[in-house]
Amino acid sequence: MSGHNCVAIATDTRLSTQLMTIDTSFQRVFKVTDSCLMGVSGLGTDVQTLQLTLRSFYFSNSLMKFKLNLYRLKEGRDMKADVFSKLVATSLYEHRFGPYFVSPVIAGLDKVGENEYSPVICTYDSIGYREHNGQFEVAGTGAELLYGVCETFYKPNLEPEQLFEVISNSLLSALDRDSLSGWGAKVYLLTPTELTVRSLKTRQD
Amino acid sequence: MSDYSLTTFGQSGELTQVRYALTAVGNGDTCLGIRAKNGVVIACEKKITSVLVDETTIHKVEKIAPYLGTTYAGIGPDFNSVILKARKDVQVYHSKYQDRITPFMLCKQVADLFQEYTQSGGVRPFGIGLIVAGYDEEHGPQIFQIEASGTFYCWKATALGRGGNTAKQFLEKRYTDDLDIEDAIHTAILTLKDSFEGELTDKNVEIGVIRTSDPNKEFKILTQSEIRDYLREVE
Amino acid sequence: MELDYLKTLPLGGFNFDNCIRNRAMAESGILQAPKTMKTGTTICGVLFKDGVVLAADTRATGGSIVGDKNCEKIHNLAPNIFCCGAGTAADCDHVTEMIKRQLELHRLNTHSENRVQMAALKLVAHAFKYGGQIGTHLIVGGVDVKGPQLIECSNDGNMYSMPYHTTGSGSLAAMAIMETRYKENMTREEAVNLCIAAIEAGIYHDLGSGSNVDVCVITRNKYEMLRNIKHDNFKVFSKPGGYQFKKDRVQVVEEFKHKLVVEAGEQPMDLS
Repeated sequence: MSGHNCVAIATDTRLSTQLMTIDTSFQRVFKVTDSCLMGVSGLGTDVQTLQLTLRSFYFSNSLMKFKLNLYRLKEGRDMKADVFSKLVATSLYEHRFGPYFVSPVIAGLDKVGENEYSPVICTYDSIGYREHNGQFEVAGTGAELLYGVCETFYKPNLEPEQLFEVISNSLLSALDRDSLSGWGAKVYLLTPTELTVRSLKTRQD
Repeated sequence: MSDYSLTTFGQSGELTQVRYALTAVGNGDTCLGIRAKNGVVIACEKKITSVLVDETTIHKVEKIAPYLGTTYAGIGPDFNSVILKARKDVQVYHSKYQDRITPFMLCKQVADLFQEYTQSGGVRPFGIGLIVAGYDEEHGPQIFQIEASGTFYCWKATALGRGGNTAKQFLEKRYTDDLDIEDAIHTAILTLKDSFEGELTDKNVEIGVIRTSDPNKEFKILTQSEIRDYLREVE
Repeated sequence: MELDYLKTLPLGGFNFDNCIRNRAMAESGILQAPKTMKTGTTICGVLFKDGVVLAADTRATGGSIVGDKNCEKIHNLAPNIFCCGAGTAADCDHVTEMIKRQLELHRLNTHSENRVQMAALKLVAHAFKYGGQIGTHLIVGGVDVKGPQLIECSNDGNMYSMPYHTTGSGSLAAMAIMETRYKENMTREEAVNLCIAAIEAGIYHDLGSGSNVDVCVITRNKYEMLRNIKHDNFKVFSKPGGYQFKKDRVQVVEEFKHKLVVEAGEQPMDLS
C-alpha cells in the first residue's frame, strides 16, 4: 500500500504444504535497496530462488540478487524501485513457458524532487504481467479476501502511522478468514529515512 | 585463439595499429562537443567532395536513441557500423530494464567494442573517434569522447579531427562553467569557423542539441533553416 | 566476443528450465500452475476520414477476480502506430514492448517513419513462431505514408485488414454496434463516439470487460491518447472520511527500526 512519501507491505509468516504448517516464521519480505522492498508469495522453493536474501549466504545464487548486484557493480548506483519492478517483470516473462510459481509484490519510493517521493506499488502474475495502480496491490492465498478489505479501508495520501493502521487492519481482517495464512504477521513500513518492521499479534492457528 | 592479431606491440611498447587509427581520426573532418549548464551541443563540419553530391543524404550527427546523439571524426563507414551496434545496445538495455540507459553505460559498451578490436584476430581497430552527447539524471548534461583505443572520458568541451587541436585551444579560452546552451551553440559554430577552410553554410555543418528545458531531454538535430539562423546570429 | 566467460551469462530469450519440473508437479497432483492474468477485454478500432481510432476497456481479470480496474490496453508502438491488446496480459505487454524496441531501432537506422504493415507483420511473425502459444490478439492502427491503416493480428499468426475490427471476449457485443453504425468517411467525432459505444457495449454485456473506456486517435503527424474518456465505473468511497479503527485491534509485539539515512555528525542507530 502506498501513502504520502511512504509505502508498506504487510504479510503473514506461515509456510505450509497444503494444510500442514511447516514454518511459523517464514520471511517473505526483503529489502532490495534502501528505497525498495519486495515480498514474494507462492511456492516456497521458487520464493527462495527468486528473492534476494541479504544475510543468508546459501541463497547467494538467487536470481534477483544476482541481477541487482550486477547492475550495482556495472552502473555504480542503486537501482531505482521503478526500474527494479520492471526488471522483475522481464525476469518472470523470461520463464513464460516454465514459470516460477510466485506472485511478488513490490513497494518502493523513488525520489522525484526535494522531499517528494513517488511510490512504486506493483504486483505480478507468475509470467510477469506487471500490475500497478499506485494505491494498493495484493497477492497470495488471501488475495481475494484482501481485495475486499483494502478496497474499503484504503485512502489516498495517508501519513506513515495512518498507513500502518490501515494496512494492519486490512491484513488482520483477511487473515481471520484465510485458513492457509496466519501464525503471526509482519508489517514493513518504508519512509525515505527509515524502515520500520513491526510484528503484529494475530490468532495463532 | 587460432589466428594472430594484426595489432601487436611495437618494440617501444606501443600498439602501432592503434596509433595509425588515431592518425586516421586526426585526418578526419573536425567535430566538437560542448557541455553547457542547461544542455549540450555537438557539431561537425561536413565536407562535401563534389557539388553533385546530395548533401541531405549524408548524416554525420546521428541519434543513437531519441535522447542520445553522437558525431565523429575519421572513417565514415566505420562510424556506420559502430552506430548500428550502439543503437542495438540501447534497445537491449531498454527491453531489460525499461529505463533509459545512462550516457556513461552506453559509452562503456561502445568503448568495450573498440577495445576488443585492438586485440582480436583478423580485425583492425576502428578509424574513428566519437563524441557522444547525453543527459544523465544524476550528473546532468554530459559529453563523452571515445577513442579508437577504447579509452573514454567525460569532457566539458572537446574536439576531434583535422582542426581538433586548434579547436581545443579555442575552446579552452572560451569555455566557462556557467555557459548557457544558446551561447554554447554560438561557441560551437565559432570554433568550427575558426578552423574551417572556406565559408561555413547550412549545408556543410551539422549540429545536435540536448536542452534540459525539454522534459524528455530529447536529442534534436537542427534543421538547415535552424542552422542558418544560428549562422546569421554569430556573424 | 571471444572471451569465453562472457558466454556463460544469460543471453536473453525464453528460459525453459522449469518446464519439466512444472509438468511433473502438475502430473503428480502436487501443485497446479497458478492462473495467469487475462485481459478478458473488449477492444476495437475504426478507420475514419483522416485517421484511425483505437479504443479499449480497462479491466484485467485473473479467473473471475478483477485484478486491475484501470489497466492500459492501448500500447504505443511508434509515434504513429498504436495497438490494442487482448488475451494474456503478460504477453501483450512484453510482446508490444519488444516490437516497440525493434521499430525504434529501425526508425533510427533508416531515418524514416515506421509503417503499420511492418509492425503488424513483426507481431504476426512472432506469434506464428510460437505456434499460437503466445496469447496476443491485437489490433494495430496507425497512419503512415500509405495513409490510415488498421490491421488485426491474432495469436495463430493471422493478419486481417478491414475498416473496423473488434476483438476480445466482448467482441460480439462491440461488433454488433460496429455493424449497425459504421459508415464510410466518418468524421473524427463520429468515429470516437462509435468506438465508445462499441466498448461500452462490451463493458456492460461482457463480464470479462469492464471499468472505463480508453480511446486513442491517430491522425497524420499527431496522436491523442484519451485515457478514461468514459469513467462511469470509478470507485465510490462509501465513507468519505474513511474508517477509524480501535487502537487495541492492532497490537505490536515487536518493533525494529532501521535508519536508512545517517545525517552528518549523527551516529548510526544502535541496533543491539
